[in-house]
Amino acid sequence: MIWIRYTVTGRRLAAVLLLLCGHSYAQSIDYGALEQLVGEPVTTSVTGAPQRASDVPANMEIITAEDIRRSGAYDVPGVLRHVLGVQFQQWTNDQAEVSLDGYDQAFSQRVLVLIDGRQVYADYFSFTPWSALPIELAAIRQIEIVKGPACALFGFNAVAGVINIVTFNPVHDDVSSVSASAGTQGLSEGSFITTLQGGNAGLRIFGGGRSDEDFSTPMPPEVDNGGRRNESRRDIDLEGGAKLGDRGEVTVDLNGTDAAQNDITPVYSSEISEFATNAARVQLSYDAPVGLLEGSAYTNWMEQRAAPGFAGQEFDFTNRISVAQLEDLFKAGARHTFRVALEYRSDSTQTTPFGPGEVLYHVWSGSAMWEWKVAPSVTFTNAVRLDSLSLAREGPLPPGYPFTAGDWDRTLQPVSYNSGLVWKPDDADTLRLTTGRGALLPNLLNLGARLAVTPLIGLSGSPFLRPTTVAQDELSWTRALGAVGAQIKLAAFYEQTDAVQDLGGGFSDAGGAPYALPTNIGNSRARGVESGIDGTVDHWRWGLNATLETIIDRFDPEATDGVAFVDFEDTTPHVIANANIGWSSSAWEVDTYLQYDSRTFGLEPVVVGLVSQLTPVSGYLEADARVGYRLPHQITLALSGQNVLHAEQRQTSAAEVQRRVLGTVTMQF
Amino acid sequence: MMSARDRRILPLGRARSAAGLLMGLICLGSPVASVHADATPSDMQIMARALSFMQKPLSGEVGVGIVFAPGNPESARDAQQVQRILGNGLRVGNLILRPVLVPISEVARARVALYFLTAGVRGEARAVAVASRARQIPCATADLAQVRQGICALGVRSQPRIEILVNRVAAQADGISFSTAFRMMITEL
Repeated sequence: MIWIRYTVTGRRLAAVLLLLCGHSYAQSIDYGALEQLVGEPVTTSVTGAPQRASDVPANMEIITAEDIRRSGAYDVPGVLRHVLGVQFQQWTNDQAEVSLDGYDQAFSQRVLVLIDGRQVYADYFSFTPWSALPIELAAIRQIEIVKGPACALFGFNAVAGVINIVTFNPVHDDVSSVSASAGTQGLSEGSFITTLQGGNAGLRIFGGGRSDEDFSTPMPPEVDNGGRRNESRRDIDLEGGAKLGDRGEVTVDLNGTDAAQNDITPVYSSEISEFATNAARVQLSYDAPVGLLEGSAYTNWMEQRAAPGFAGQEFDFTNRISVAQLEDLFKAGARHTFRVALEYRSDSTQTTPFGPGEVLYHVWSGSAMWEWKVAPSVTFTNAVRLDSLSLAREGPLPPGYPFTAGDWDRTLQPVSYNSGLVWKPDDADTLRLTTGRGALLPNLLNLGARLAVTPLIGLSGSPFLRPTTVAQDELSWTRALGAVGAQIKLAAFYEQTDAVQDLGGGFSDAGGAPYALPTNIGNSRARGVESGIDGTVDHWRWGLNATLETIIDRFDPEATDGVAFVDFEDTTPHVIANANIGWSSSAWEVDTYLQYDSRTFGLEPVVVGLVSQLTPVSGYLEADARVGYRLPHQITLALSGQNVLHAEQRQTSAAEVQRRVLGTVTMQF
Repeated sequence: MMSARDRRILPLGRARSAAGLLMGLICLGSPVASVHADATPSDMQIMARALSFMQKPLSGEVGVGIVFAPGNPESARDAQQVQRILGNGLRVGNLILRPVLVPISEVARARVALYFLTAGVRGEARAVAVASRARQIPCATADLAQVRQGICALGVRSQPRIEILVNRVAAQADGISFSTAFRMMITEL
């Protein structure tokens, strides 16, 4: 019984880190100038090239700074909650999980999250520790959500899509504000951002802190692994940039965070995590005759301590990622755009609690994108990426361990691709046919960095775990209803996931104590439809959307029906529907958001054994709301709330979610 | 009283109503093709912003030569409209566009830094192209046909959807080039 809990803790441990992969020049683009030019949001998150949102060969959503402010949310997951295609789960007060097109779970692993193209997804444990991200909402220009595999541009792990958080650029954007909030659950929060500009250079500093308590609703005994603590986070980010003549730009970004929160692990057991992260990055871009050249390099350091750990031993994951990248984006003639990139990445995590040891890999990557404007109304885009990953392990092995050091001497070479055909038959309609494939790499914990030894049983990763691959085909249609200031969107997708990874299920006995191991347990299929309409009329803004989805898991017989720690078929709602309406005047802003999730199941560990079980979660309706009032001197008062319809509501297999209400005062300067 | 048959029909009726409403919305939103090539204030704003993406951008006060054919009513009307839009100087970013009416016969001698070719000029438009090349003065227009024909390097249209066209041959001849990011966002010919 005890060792099962350890298993749970170990798997979800680590979390945060910043790694960067893929393309990274997003911050050197002057989003504001380009948006003013074309009259709509601009993104680089689909092909690597700057594109109008209406032209991209992908199903994507863009959340603007105004959307963020009027959401009333105080963190990024809260902002994302009501977006078409997003599945959201609130596990504890500070732990929310977000996925795209279903497949959400505790420590959601299928969406690659980036800040300005830099990865903040914690690939050593395959999740995004939202509270430990170095970001404040006031610093965000827009959030770009690309649905479907995007690994041909961004590399591993973007198998369900990408969420790219784009911040204001200190060279091009002058943003300064300070805010303070207080609310239920003992919430107190402060945040600031200031920008200093002079000549062709700029310096931006933002930071903040938050303290709150977890929900006071009881944790189900099956999930409760002992104790909850007050939650907190602090972050600081400093970015400076300068133009180098008319054609170049350099930026340097330094940031750090620390956070402590109550977590529900991927094996659905509670845990207390403390995160500490630091990152340093330098970027250089130059608009040369051969195209837009960009080089970037960065290192992310992250530590996660997780308690209670395994057999009285806490997990202490220390992770380091270094990335160097070079790319060229250029046009050949009037109709062809190309992007070629090379990337090197090293990623290592020390073994814990058994040590000293280190599991690491080095990755060389090459990628290319080709956009062909076949005709004025037709664009055909293709992208491919080849990664060559060399896995290794250093340090001693415990006696009786089922693996030798040579078992880690492996090379993985997954190929990722994206292809999209966009047809704009007129100024209002856009049809997109897209296909893509990507790989979800086994995380470093599951590759062996999690290593606990006791006389009775051990807990380990496996160097033989295979990557999960996801392939998706999608057909979508959008139509601008110019006369009523609205837009309709319809999309249908089919997604195939192979070699699903489970945190448990494997078992090895090499003569000493047996070891519990992660395994690949089968595949999964998903079919779904997204539909939405939204618009603005005079002082009003409104929207309706719904996602209908059916998932069929085909797991090994011993891993079905919630026995394994993944059961997408039963834990993904068939229907997620959202509605919002807002009104604003020169002084007032009033917004309401509704969400309905159909009946589903949650997972919870059984008392004995490395298995879980399903527990029903009724369909529920929740509401978020915000009222804001502008005072003179650019001061705004706001009252906002989440889950305001009920004092307590069951939304997952963990503790019931409580109503949250907070007041905020913001001053811009 | 509603019969059982009526009750069976009702859901379908509602479905038809909903479908009708949806189709109505779609039809309501159908774009109306614009055949009007006269420049609008939005066109001028977009043109000025596009010019800021030149690799050697214009800045400060810029004299805009509004090139028109006096004998062409459409061109003359467009010229007057552009002159009104620019007024005493239209500020966009760090540019201030000041209008100068230029009859097409005077185009080679006009003291301006930018030509704006009005709508409807046909055969005489070649003179603008010649002046642009000879004097290395960029030519912009809201009449996209002039860009397709290589008379002007830059064309803009704000309705129903913002479109920006650059004729690469004309731009090269005029001695202008644009940033790579800009070129990714627009249509090149």
